[in-house]
Amino acid sequence: MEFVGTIFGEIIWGLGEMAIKIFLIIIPLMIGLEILKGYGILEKLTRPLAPFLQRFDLSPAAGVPFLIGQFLGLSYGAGVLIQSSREGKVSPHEMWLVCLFLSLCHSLFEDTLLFVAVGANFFVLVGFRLALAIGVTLLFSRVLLPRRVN
Amino acid sequence: MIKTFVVRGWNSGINTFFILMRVMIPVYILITVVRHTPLLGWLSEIFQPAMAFFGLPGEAVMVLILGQGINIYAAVGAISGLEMGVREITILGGMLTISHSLPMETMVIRQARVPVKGLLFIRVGLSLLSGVILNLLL
Repeated sequence: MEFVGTIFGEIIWGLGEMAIKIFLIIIPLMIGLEILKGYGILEKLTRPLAPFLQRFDLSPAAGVPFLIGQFLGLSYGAGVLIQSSREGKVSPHEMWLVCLFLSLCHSLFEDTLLFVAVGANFFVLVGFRLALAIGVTLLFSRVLLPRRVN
Repeated sequence: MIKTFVVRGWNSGINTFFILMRVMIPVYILITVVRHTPLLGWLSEIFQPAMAFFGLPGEAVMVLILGQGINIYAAVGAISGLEMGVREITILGGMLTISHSLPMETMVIRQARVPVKGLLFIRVGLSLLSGVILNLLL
């Protein structure tokens, strides 16, 4: 019984901590994003990405989930991914490609630095991961799963 | 005008918070319970011999399992408890930055109505392949 009690306590504390942390991050984040969007700043920020996205056959609209997911990671960026998918500005095919890139490569520096802290080589990790994500997303968008031409 | 944006942000923030909680609470409970069972230990025993493909010592299997099943923090914690060099830690880092926190991240992506099966397969496959490649390159 004591064992069950320990796990129960661990779950309650852990969940509470996680919920508070996510709430404190996600609320200001979504408010900030709506402000950036409202004043057209987000569009300006993602515009330079357009030529890069075009190589993967992605429209400029896909830049928003791409950029947010890249820097905030999949969990904190989830709100934007969900929103983009629901608003319909980004097609399901594009969302899949964005998620392919992001699942291989997100929070690039944050994740890497955790391993560097215990002794890994920074440049190998960043270079390898970025090259892999770009290469695989190109392969899928151009060769394996290209958008059907109407 | 700014008030409209703040209200809109607050609403979508609350909405996202509840979507995330609905996904994260069950996954978190499952992970915590599994961590208290011998399951991870059994998985380690099964996959230990495969570590040779990545040029890693057998004990490193636990780092990979913790990283894939739980998160990077759990994996990094396990690395600090083992004696490994830059080469081994870089190989582990390569494999785990590409693929980690699979239950949590997969469930989150699913909320955006993106089909996840293929993504999961690609991700794990490439992580394993990266281990082999990094072992040859480094």
